Amino acid sequence: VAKKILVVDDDSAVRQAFILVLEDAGYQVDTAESGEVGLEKYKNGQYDLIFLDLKMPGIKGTEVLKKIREDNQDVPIYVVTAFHKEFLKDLQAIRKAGISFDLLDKPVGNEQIIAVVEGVFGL
Amino acid sequence: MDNQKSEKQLLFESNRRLQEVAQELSIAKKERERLLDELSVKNVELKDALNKVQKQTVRLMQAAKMAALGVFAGGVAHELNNPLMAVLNYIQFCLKHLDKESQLYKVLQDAEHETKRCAKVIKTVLTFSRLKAEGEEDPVETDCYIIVKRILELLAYRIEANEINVKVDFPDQGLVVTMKPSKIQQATLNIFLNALDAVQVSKDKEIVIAGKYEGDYAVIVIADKGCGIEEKDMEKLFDPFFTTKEAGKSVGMGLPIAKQIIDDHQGELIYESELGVGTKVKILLPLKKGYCAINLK
Repeated sequence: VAKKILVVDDDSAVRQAFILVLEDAGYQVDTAESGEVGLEKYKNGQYDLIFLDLKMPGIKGTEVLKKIREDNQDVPIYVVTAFHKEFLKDLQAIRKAGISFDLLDKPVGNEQIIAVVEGVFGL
Repeated sequence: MDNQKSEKQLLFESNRRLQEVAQELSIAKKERERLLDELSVKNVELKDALNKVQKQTVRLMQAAKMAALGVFAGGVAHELNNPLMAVLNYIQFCLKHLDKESQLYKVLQDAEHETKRCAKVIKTVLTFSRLKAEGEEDPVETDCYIIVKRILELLAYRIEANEINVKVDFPDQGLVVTMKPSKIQQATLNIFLNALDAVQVSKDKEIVIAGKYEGDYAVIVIADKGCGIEEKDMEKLFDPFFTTKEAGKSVGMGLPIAKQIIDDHQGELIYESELGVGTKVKILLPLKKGYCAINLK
């Protein structure tokens, strides 16, 4: 069964880029255009990996991260952002609270996305 | 007889009065000279103060301009980042599925290269726009020599490969300043990289990097015997995106970033250059209160 990946990003071009790369590599991809939709999809689906944008209208990525972690400590979450410096204090506080995540600095290329996925799934 | 005596007396009195007036005049003249001298000193002081205020005003205006530019450039860079990521992945996807012998393959490889170049520009612009906003690093007492050593370690390969002679001259007791070390390292690195580029084509591939105390400042001097800077370019050195290097080699943000960092440290960045002779850059960083050069010697 193909591994299921959720991509939460308000930019359709970024979502499309993830779909292109991940589906091509044989993964099943779901996308969400906001934090709210992302949480909804997370509740209704079993995901093996989540790519999460930070700066989105509505619920911020950091809040989505906290809410998912309240329910699930295991699913790997990669925060994909060009804003990690602006959100540094928030992210440090989250990490200090024991909430785990990894960071990817935008723009992320094809090879880097695949390397992350293969690393997560131990391929 | 009495009349004669009275006239003599009057003359004597008048004479005495005249002498008194002359003395008063002499005192007044001296006082006037003293006041004029004082006025002259005050005038010089006032001119100095005016000069300082004018310089400070220019600096503040420049800082405000750079801050506004930083916010604007940062906004544009952020907006470009997402579509750029998409373009990069679309290109890489096509490359993956294209026959390597195809004529299009090389074209797409070039497109990928140029997209990565755009990403680098955006990253640099973001660095520039974030300088003010970043608050993650607290100022700490740091020896400038440690900063210089780190830079030389980072660039050791490039220095050796290009056979560049780097002379380091720092005081034994160190050159300690309260600073944000990674920021000062970034500023010094940007300036040093320019020196490396400048000596690349020169006969005498020498760069001197020295540290010293100058009044209330710790000074890092980077002097190269490179190509030098044309006079017409001197005033544009700190303008964002200004570069004399060939297209694609530099974004032209190294010095604006360095300047911004040094300004944030209340320091100064002084450039002296002669075309064909070399360039000398002085990074002046204020010493902390009560920690002046005299105390250290």
